[in-house]
Amino acid sequence: MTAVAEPADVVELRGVRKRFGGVHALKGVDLAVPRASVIGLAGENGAGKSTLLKVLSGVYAPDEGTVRYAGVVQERLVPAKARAAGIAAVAQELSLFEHLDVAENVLPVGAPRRGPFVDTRARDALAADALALVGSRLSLRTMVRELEFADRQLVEIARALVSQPKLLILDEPTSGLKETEVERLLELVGRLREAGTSIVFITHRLSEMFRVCDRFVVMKDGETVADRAAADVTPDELVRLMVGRRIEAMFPSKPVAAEPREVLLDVSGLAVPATPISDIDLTVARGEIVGLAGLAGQGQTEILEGIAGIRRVTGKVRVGRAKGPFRSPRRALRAGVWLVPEDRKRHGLVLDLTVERNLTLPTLDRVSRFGMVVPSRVRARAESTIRELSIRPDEPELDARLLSGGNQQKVVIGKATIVDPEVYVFADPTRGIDVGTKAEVYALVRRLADAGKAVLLLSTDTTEIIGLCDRVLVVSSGRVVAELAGDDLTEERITAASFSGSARSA
Amino acid sequence: MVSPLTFLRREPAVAVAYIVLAAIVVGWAVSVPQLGILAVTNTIGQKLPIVCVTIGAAIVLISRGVDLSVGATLTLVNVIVAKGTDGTGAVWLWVVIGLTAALAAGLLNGILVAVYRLSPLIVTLATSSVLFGVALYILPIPGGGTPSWFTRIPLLLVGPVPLVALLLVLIPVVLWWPLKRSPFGTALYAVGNDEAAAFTAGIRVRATIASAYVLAGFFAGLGGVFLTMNAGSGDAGIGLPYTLNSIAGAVIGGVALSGGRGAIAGAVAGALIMSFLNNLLFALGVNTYWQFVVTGVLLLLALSVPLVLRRVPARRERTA
Amino acid sequence: MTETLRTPALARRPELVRAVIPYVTLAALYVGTIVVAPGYRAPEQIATLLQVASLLGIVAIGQTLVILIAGIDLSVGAVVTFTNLITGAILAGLDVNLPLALMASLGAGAAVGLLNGFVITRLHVPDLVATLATMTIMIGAGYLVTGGAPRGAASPGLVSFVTGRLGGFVTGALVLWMLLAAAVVLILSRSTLGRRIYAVGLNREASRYAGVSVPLLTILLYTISGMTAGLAGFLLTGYTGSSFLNSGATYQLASIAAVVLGGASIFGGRGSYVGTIAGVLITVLLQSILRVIGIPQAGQNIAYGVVILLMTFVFTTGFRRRRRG
Repeated sequence: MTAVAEPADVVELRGVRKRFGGVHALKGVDLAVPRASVIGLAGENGAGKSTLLKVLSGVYAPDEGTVRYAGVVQERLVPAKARAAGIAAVAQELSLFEHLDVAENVLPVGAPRRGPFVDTRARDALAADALALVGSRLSLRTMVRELEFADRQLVEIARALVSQPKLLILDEPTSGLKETEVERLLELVGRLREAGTSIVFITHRLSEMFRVCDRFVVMKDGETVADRAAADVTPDELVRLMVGRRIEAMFPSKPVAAEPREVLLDVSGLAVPATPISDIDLTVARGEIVGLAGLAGQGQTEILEGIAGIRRVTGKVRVGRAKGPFRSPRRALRAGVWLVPEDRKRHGLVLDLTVERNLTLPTLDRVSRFGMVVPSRVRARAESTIRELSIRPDEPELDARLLSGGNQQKVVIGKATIVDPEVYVFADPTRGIDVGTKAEVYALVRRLADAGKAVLLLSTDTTEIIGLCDRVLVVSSGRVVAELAGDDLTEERITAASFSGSARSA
Repeated sequence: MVSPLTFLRREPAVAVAYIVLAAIVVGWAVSVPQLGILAVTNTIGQKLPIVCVTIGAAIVLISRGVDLSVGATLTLVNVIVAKGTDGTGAVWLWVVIGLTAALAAGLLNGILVAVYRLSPLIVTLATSSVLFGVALYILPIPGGGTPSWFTRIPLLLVGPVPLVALLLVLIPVVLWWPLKRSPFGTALYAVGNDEAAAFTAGIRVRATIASAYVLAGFFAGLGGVFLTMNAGSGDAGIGLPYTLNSIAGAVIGGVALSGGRGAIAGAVAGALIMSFLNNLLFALGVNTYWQFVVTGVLLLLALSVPLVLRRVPARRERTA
Repeated sequence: MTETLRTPALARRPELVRAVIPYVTLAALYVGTIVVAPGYRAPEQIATLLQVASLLGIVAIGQTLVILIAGIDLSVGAVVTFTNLITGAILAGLDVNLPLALMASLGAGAAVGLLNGFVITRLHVPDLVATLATMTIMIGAGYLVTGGAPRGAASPGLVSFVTGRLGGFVTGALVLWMLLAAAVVLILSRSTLGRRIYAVGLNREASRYAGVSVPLLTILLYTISGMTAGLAGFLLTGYTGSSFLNSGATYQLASIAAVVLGGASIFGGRGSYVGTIAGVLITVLLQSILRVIGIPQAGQNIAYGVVILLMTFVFTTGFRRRRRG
């Protein structure tokens, strides 16, 4: 399907193809971004959204097809050209400079000059303006290394705004923000549109998309499968366009609460140094899926890392009969608890190793004899895990780097299933993966619980945590402030609990 | 412009370094039997080469690289000036030639690291070997000579103040500080923090990194010129300890090995600390062989300090 | 739906190429040498080269391991010198002192390696600087221990072990090197330790999350590096007959050159000791050629640097092109 392009289009892509090795990320994409519009780019991961964004902003040059800025075909695209054409992008992975201050981060390049020097006063003024636009009250001299994630996101957005772009690309800009900040950002998007700026917006939160977007462009498997006005689509339809599945069918049914079972994980008085976490108590019993909710940035990941021996914590952690806290992942493994980490590319996988080597890395002793690896055992273990989790492509000798995000996540989970702990700890296991794989992960987690494992799961997606967990603990200001289950387990109760305790100064 | 107080709060290492330096200098001053103006001038003059080389090393470290060839560059320039001038008396001509060679060496490093993306460690280790080889070829046996007025330059006084003391202050201020305040300065630190982020932000990463190595070559060459003024002759083995000492000095002065942070002012202090410490040991009658051990241990200690500091949680500032 | 990609060979191929190129280079270099200087075909000449290669090869064991986990050991040269000095002093020309000298050398090497490992893992000092610092300390230690005047001499037993030819060709040191080499190759390619080493080299954090004890591994490998350097210094005494200040200095650059020429990536996780062996032979052959042709020390330094740059260039850019395609 072709998009009708008007001469006033800020950017137009036609027939764009892009591949990386054997993976076709974009298979002939057409996209027109007119002036003063907000386009929501929807699709699973692996659908090609991030690649598309990088082509739009000049980071990748297409293998085939044309990219037009204001009607002019671009040859040999580089980010500098995109910038010159007024395109500014805020990627999902923030790119701030830790040891520079806020002003230098907002304007690292192109700052006003006085002779050969940087005119710091003028630069500060520009930075302050941009920060005000996003509603941040940060001091310009603060070093970014001292900032929390939400503040960093705002600085990054301010950097994009300071160039007064014609097209602003936002990839998951709200993932760390509080409700009020999200509101302000969405309002800003509206105002920018009125001022004539175009915005391409990606978020996994459907409600946000429906609030600001004029149009939705749906991608699936590297192609655009739909380009509709927002008014013509419902959230359910949108998801179906992305995947062909209805939302409700995603979560497996929860078992009826049986008589209390053996507590496998018992945490009390847990505190994580250098974080707000000061006093966490929680228990997880056999067969339970317990969720950790709360505002992002409250240290939930650190709690999980502390339980699994990755991070040093104080307090009491008991797993089965073993007493923690555990000082290394290996000790945690022996005690029977294992973490599936949040960041699959940096912590979950060694991307340059093959799938089978990744899968068996924590459990080498089980596939070896006298310290020597037995390749046939490795292969057998890998193949059975690949089958169980439907990892695609089913090629144990493939470099993990070449898999899609969802399949990479499955390998990370597969590692854990081979370890076969009594207690599974998941840190945001479905972040950034497609809806189809999400459903598979949910089913797997429930299967683990049904098989008698204890599962502790952190998620930033309220729908997910409600749909999947038997019990949800809300963490706020360093403690567990609420425990919700059954009828109490609603989005409103979770949100309310997330805001209780001493509020963060805003 | 960052106020001095903010500067010191961000980089406490610099303040610490100068305090330590002051202590060592005082210690040295009271241990030396006679402290005439000549002795002081002489001593300070000896410091110019290492300070220059350390500045160069620090610049590259900030860019998240490392330059192991600075000692070799210094040696090369020393040898070129000494051999070239020998007999001809055209010292400044050979100084220019030497500095050009130093810049060329820096440029070579810069291109290999920035454009061809080779490991700085391997590249500068290799170029170090090449440069030492070239120096040895030019001057197989220590020799060469410079006119006596040239070697008397480090002894000059400007009013009551030794010229070399002025140079110690002027060199960083005049040669580095303008660079720091220019877009290049921000770019250098940005690249050292996160090269990929710098690229997406529109910084010309390759040019910035290459320039860092060119500057290192220049400062190392400058150090070689001052060394020749001190020594009056050339020696192809002279620069061997300079490489480690320059890195050690930079680190002691608070320049992070991981790049992106640290101040040249600190590096200067660090270089002086190590150098004056040797003076102090000598004045106390300690066996000169201990110098090596002391340098090594001092470096390790200096590197453990950030670890201790990191245990102190950073203050969080949200509003102005 | 994505089709199943048949890529087992592709996944393995870059590593194979990495191991083969050094041998091709070695062969080319050797052939070229023979053409210009036919004397290099003589078994005597080859035996001499192998003698020198044994010592470098042993040092390169430690360096390879350390470089594989993305580290580097710049202190090996100073350790070789130090153990060379103390071996000469302890032996004082008597075989009876051999066990003591060997233990002292291995002990000193292990101590330095442990120090390196501790400083790197506990104090979080980057390997480059940590080993530069210990190098400096050991240089000083060497001076202090001998007061600047090396004394003592090798014992006849040691000399014959290192230089005595069995069957006109093989020396004890060569056999030792080959045995150690076999062990290292086996460990790296087939053992769980080897798998962990490569994992850590490729992604330290992910390996930690996967339960690999990175600090333990680091300390182990640096200790081994110190010990192999110590062993080499001990054997060096047999090779030269006595001890000299700075006798081991060349081993620093030479061992790194050998590892890099052998195809290992300085960034860790890629390479093998099989490749390093070729790298060692290339290095030793190169040194010999330069000396024979009459190019003085200066030329050797230059050639060294150029060759390292060239090989690094080939490996780095060659592999990047392959990755992108």
